[in-house]
Amino acid sequence: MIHRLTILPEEICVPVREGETILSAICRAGFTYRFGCRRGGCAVCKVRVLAGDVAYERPIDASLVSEQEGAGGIRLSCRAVPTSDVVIALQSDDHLTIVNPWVSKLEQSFQ
Amino acid sequence: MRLGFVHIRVTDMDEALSHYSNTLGMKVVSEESGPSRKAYLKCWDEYDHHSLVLEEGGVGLVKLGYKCATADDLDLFENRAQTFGATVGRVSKGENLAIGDGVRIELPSEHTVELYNEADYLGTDTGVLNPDPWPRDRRGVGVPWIDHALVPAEDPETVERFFTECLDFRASERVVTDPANPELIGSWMYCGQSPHDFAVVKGPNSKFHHFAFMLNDWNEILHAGDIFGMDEVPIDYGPTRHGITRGQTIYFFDPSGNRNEVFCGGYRTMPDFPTITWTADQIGKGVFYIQREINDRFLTVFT
Repeated sequence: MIHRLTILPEEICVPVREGETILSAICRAGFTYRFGCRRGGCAVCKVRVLAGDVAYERPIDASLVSEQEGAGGIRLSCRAVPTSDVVIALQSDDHLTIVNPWVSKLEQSFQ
Repeated sequence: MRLGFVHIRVTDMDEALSHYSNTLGMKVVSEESGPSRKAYLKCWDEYDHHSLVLEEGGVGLVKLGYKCATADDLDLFENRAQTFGATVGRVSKGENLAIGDGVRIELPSEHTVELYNEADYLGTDTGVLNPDPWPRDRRGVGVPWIDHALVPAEDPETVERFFTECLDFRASERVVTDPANPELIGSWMYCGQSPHDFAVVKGPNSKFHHFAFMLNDWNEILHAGDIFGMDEVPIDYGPTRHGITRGQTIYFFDPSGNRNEVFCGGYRTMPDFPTITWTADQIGKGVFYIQREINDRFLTVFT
């Protein structure tokens, strides 16, 4: 099953494969953004989930996202796996950058 | 004195064991189950019981163990640390599996260092009688030794002064804001003959930056990089050369996000080694000499 991941503020839309993390889906679509260890340990890749559902399928360090942040939709994008269509916002001082224009152009046709 | 063991937390023990054992090639020497699952690992050319302790739950550093030469050293360093004003306590034999009596010190940076002078002897994988140069069953990267650790600190100057005054370390290299009015940003410190056995950079207290494995040469760094490609190990940076220490490196992350390094080369240090100074505007070259700029992870990702 493929879910649709929409990233604000650019409103870029990328497909998500079954079991794929937000980070993996964005990178596979030819984009990059600010992330760190990619293994749930550093919290540099926090994003805000505005709509839809995500699940952690592997353990993270629970102290990295406060209760208040969690209630506000903050998740570690390297470990969060969409289980429905999802809309996320990157951190306010971050943005998507195209690193693989061949793929990112193709992925736009998904919209 | 030398770095004897690194004790870290991992979120998933099975993934961590696969990384440190299959990818890096360490040997699991002991495991403890129960509420606090732990594993003890050693590199093939190390002869003490273990050099890495993994503890399940969370991420980051639990403590660094430095092995001293004698019990008298422990007394000396304990007295000096107390005089310095650090929080100091005694560790009894057996509190750390296979490690003898020790001294626990809370650094001004809220990191724990334990000094000890005895550990159970297991021997290297090649032995001490007519040994082969390396074991035929070496796995993955085949790391022979752990090498050094780097921690962040809000006040690196006090941490540097602690290691200098209390533990007889010396700074091989320092990064300062401006040589005319220097504020310390980082210090690379040695207690043996390598470029560094401990390092501290400005950053958040109690967090962990990385610990490193020693490799023999640049070709082994490339070989390690190939293994990381095969095993999908997330890379922070490299392979490249450091300006600071002159060594060669790849930084990468374990499956819990703790940063590791494979490190080789660098110069030799002596008690009269003249300290090298870098200025903050040249830190890009100091850390990643060839690319000359720091990536956006190196000074922001801690566990």
